[in-house]
Amino acid sequence: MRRTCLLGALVALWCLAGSGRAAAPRFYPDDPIARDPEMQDASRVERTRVSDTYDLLENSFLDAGDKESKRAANINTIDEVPDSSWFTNRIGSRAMTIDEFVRGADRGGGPSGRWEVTGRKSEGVTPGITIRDETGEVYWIKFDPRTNPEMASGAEVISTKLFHAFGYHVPENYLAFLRRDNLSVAAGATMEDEDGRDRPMRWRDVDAVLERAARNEDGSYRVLASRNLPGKPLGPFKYYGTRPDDPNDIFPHEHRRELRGLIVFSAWLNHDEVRSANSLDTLVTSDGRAVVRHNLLDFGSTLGSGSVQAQSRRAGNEYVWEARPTLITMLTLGLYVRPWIKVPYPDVPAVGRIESAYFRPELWKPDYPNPAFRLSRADDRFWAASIVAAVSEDAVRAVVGTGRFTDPRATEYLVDTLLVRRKKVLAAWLNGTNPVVRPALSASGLLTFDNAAVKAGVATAPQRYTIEWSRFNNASDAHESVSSEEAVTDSRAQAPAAIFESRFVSARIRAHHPEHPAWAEALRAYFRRTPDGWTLVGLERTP
Amino acid sequence: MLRHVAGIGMVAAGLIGGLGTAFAQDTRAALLDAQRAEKAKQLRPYEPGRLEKILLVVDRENPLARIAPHNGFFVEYGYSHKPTGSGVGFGGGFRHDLFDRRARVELEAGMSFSKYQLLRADFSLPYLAGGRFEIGAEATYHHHPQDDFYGLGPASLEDDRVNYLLDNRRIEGRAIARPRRGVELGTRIGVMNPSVGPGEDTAFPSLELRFDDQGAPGLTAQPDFTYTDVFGAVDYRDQPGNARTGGYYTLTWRRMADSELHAYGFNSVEARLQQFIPIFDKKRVFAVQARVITTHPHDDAQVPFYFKPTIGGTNSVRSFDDYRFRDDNVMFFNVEYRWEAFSGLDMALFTDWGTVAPKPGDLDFGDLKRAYGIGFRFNTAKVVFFRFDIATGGGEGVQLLTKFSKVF
Repeated sequence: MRRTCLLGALVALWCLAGSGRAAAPRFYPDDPIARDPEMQDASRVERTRVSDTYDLLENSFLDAGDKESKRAANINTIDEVPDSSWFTNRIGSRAMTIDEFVRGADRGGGPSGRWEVTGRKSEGVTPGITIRDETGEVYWIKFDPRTNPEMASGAEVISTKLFHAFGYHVPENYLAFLRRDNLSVAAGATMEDEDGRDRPMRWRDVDAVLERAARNEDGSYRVLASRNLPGKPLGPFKYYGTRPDDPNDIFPHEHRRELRGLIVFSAWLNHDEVRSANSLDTLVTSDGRAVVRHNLLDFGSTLGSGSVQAQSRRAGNEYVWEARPTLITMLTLGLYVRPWIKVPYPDVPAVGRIESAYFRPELWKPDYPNPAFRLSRADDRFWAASIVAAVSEDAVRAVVGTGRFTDPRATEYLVDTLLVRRKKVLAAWLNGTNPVVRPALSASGLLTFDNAAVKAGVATAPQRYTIEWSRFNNASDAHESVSSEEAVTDSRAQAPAAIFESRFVSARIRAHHPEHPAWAEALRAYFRRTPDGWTLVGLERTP
Repeated sequence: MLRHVAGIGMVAAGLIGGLGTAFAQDTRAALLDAQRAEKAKQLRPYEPGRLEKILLVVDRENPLARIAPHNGFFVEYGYSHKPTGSGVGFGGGFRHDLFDRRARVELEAGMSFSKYQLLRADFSLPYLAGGRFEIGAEATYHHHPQDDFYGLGPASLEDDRVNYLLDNRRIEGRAIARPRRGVELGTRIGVMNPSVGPGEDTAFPSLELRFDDQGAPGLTAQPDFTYTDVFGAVDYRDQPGNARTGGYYTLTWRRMADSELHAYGFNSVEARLQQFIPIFDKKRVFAVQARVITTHPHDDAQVPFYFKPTIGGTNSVRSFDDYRFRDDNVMFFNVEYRWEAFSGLDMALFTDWGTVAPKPGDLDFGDLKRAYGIGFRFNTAKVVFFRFDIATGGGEGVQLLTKFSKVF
């Protein structure tokens, strides 16, 4: 009796699901969407606070977020991330000029005229102050540590521009020079005292910050001026779940591709502090609607910078807490020395600690586990690596140049290091799955595509590609094979005539390379007939 | 079984509902908007879990700063000048910057579970010349009801353990200059009024039952003392609370004048050298400490037993109890090999060596008391906040030592 009931329920479920499948098309007329239509009014969103300590504990010990690694939830039908309040396609979808790279998110020139100190920065580890310039704009001013002049400010400016080029929302971060005689303390400026109570700010409080900062020979201070983000601050976002008060936030963050793929960019740029505390949601008005914009901020701990000192050797190599190496080190009385401790670094104070010889992107780790990174799959990393591949050597040179290091060794070393790390990132993650990109089907039925790994110079051409054609019924989601697997040695193939009657066709493409077994994973491209021929409407790199 | 069927039915209903919403749309944009419209009906503020709520309160309220603020009434674990061996204790009082942070006052009372007590009042001008110069005055009352005593010299016996009460009232003035970062020069001038009485630890006899004034000089009479300290320190440790590199060297000369009985005046010199030698990016550290205290009685005077330096316990030779050996002169050495297990825990293998002697020339390197053991130090980058050391090697058993502070 029990078995019969269960069976009946399952049959009912199957029928219902089956009928649903039949009615839900795989492709809608507006697919692939280029922009996620976040149409709901989010004006009722409230400011939230996230405990940094809880974030560390939760992600280190409680395994936060979804456990199931499935395909990213927010991608469009061609496996790309549509523009949204989280992400804007830039270098990933079009060529950017060097000027665009260098300008980044900046819309002005940084703070101007006399600066009025309005407060002392209490968040974060970097000493700083807040100022209002002559135009009334508010900036967060961060200083370089005395041991490493130019390091933190240079790293933050460079990384901000690169993260902007990748597509993330970031603040306008400027390099600027502060002179004490160009400052005044604003009437009503306050700061937190030792006990966390607000009290009036005095000159000696400013001097206490300056005392800890690297100072130039002419008495000025090179600083990072971070312009206040537009909109109302709403607190950090978490790397899992959704904001329950934001109607537009429907995709669990750990299933957002741009957050999963963030591990690739972070590994390249050694952004070890990629966590909630270094994010900020803001309520902004877009197209007349209140929407929550999700920003990444605080890139002071990137490249070789650890913000207040050179980056720690552990950064990128091990979580703050990892049981295995800890136990081994304890039990061997310290005779076991973690290999990353012995990695040599150049003595260039403006660089800090970053290197490329020991770096292995697939082993790179942030300070503590990140739920989106944990669920990051080969297709997510491939997507991000494709964006990294689009950042040219000239762009890297130009962006590093914006760090304006006085020591030419710093610029040279950073460029060289980033280029080597870039190549390793591409080799690891463009080869981690089928690297076929940009499939296109001409009106005459000629299929063409590129190989991202070959194009990036991190692999040789495959021995062959194999392609299998199908008609595709969008209503029933059914494939009808019209050819057996056909082998080609070039990245082009002629479709069989039998497919031309269909409104949708699909090509199942695999690449075969003895050194890259993951290339043989099937990639399926879908094309929709249009009056002019065929348009790519779907792409599944890893179903 | 019914529960199973009902459960499956609910899943099916959920699918229908969900798909029903999706089926109604003709475009992807409409589909997504419908999902968002559905969510818009169920908006609610973010509700942190219980642990996160607690930690948010901790972040916001900063309870440590609340109960032990820089300015205001405070309560703290431990208290100023808390002696080794006094057990778990707490302090509290009032402290505040005055006159727009030009001066500071501190009023403090402390007590331990072993009934050690402190009363203290301190007034200072600590921020003179941008913090480079400090003057101040302090008045204290110490009540030590059960300090341990084993007799004098390196051959004192464990079985001779007794205890005594020491009360001490002290008033002193100080002037300290910090001409540059890590360098400190200063002087203290004061008067004190020690008083010895029967020990209150009933587990051991009181001192006067086993020792007389010859075995414990100063037992029968305690004069008032005037004293002068001159001291200097060089400190270039990276983090004084959890040093991994650098050094710390101090030298203190003290003159204790017995202007009342002319029987117990003495001078003393204390030298302390600490060196921290890192390897592997400070993940391994050899930490070395040498400490020598010599006393020099005035003319025919003697150093009172309660002012004689000691070794033994958590900060000197760890295989022995606190104050285990006592005499006019002591020296001890600590060598630790520390290794970082992870960023919150250092471990250490250590060995301690030390001795006491009636004359400086009698300090015998060939007959040192010793200890060796292993330690666990829970720390932040800046401070060791808890340590657990296991020490043996002194012939008096295994010592399990816990402290809420570093060794050195």
